[in-house]
Amino acid sequence: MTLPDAQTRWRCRRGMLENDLLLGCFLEHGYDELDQEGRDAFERLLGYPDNLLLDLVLGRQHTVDAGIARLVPLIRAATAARASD
Amino acid sequence: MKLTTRKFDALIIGAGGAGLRAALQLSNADARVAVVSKVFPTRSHTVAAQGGVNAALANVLPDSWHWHMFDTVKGSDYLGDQDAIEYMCRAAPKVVYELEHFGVPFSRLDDGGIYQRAFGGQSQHFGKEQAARTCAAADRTGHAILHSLYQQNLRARTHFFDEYFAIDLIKDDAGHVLGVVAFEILSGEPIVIEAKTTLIATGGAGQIFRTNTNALSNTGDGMAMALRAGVPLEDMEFVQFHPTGIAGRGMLITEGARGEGGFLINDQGERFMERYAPKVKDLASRDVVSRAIAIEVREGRGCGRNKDHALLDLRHLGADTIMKKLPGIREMSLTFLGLDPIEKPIPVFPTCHYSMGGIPTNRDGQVVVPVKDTPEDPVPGLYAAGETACVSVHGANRLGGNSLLDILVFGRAAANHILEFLEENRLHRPLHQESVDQALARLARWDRKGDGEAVEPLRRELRKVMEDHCGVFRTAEVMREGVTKLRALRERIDNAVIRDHSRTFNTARVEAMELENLMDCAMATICSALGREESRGAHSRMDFPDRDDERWLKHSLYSLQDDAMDYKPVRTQPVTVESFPPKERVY
Repeated sequence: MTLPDAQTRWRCRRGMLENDLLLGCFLEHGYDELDQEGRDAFERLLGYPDNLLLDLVLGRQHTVDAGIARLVPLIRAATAARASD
Repeated sequence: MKLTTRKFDALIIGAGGAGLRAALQLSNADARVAVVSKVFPTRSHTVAAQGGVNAALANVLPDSWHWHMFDTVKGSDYLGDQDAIEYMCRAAPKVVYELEHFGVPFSRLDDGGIYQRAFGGQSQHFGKEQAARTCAAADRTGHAILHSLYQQNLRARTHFFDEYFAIDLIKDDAGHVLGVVAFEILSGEPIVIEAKTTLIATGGAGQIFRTNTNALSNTGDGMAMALRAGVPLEDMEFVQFHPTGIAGRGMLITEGARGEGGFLINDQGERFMERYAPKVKDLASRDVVSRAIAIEVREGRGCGRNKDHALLDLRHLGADTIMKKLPGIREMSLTFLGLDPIEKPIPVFPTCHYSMGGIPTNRDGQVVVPVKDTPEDPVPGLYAAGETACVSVHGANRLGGNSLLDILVFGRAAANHILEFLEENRLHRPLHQESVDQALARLARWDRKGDGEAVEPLRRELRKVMEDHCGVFRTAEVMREGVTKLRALRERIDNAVIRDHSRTFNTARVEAMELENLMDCAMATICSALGREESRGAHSRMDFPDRDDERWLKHSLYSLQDDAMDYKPVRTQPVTVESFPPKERVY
């Protein structure tokens, strides 16, 4: 595992179970397919406070950051994919 | 290799609300303070606390700290220590106003005062009318508190070791705690942090159960560290469960779903709560509903491929009601299960929410252990606060709104005592190299190569054993079997290996050490639960269904050595008022 991946994985450890699951699923299903721009957006998302992060992913709030906005459906899809396992 | 060593007056392990409140008090008093946290501080689990903080401000309805005290003692099923409860309830208004000054944006009344909402278990006049005692910052009080405390600590120049994992306490032969051996997750390099005082504030251990509401980081690291340093854990059998967590995931489906008319069914489609509580059915108390689900599963009437959960059926409520009245539940279900409760029932199972037990402390936050005839002798230099500690204000069951209060009051109280200790102990004691070497050996143990089981399957197995053998369905037979399974698992964990031996950001090593911590906390929980032959608060025994004050009005103490159980008396004498004697709890 390369350094950025391990570091990113650890920073997906959050204060809320919901975020742990959402981000954990995305690391398993989707993160590898991101290009550099997508990975940069994901890093920005990880910088958000937990409540805001959850609100964004659940669609309760929206962001003007187009890169993060593109990630939201991918993260939801990854969680849904795990749910149907 | 020369080890990096740093020295501080006070070391805080854990950066949730208890740790940050203590750190702030200490930094503001010009102590040199370090906070070690395995995750970035604002990713601590305090952020998930939604409810609020109890304090008898009397902003909405008449209130008094004494009524708050009565409710807390009663809620604890009389196992709470009444001196600590009195102290907490008296201090509550002060800590809330302090938070206001730290910048926590509490919800307001029209007159500008702090809004207070009514929660279950709150009363006026010692058990009479409903009280309104909970101060909240909308539905994200924990988040607001954690972020405000973190900002205040930055201002006060608290030193943070972010993403450092604490391995073990350093303790000398005279029993003084001298700090901790940790390692930086980024570099993998160990570090010795010497401190005149050490406060453990690492939160709960909810991850010992497969289904739980806790963040993945809640692995009981501080509790396990204390155990390995020879400190017993107190009242670990008392674990709060919520009946309807999303099965296999853990998140809560609130009572509102059943309040609106949702009901539970088994694999036959039977509304089984009609058998367990013919009158109130699905609206029976939490423990009754939790046990009913567990019994259905145990007796083979569980649902799904593994027959390991019940179903919460909302379909008959119709799309309109579900979308208007239960939108949050639908959203959770769609997101985490990929199913729409308008069309399909939700798989549910009791979910572990909060550990009442933990590291025994007095109301100054000092860790206390039995020594000869003294049940509570302070361990010099060692403190604990928050969910990792057992002070014990929650006793056998915690009231809503009292957990944030606990972390704030006792984080602050511990810091005040630390300042007194520092006045009298101005020099660092000599480092105890043997203790440092032991901690380093624990770290090096995971460098072992060769054959051995992997960590993740062992972790899954441990959590399943706990769910099956020490969840809400507890009998001597079920738990004895669980102890046997856990002991076998403990040996297998001793021989487990990790494949990744790199130094930089080796999270496999962190997870392996977390597994060891989970193991110790799990054993403490099941041994304590097996020992207590009564039902009290959150601990419910099928084979001992009644509370037994004559034999069991006492605290459990589990020690790692030989998995031994010991007991100590409850502190039934408050500081200034008369004691509340045990009574049957009726709400």
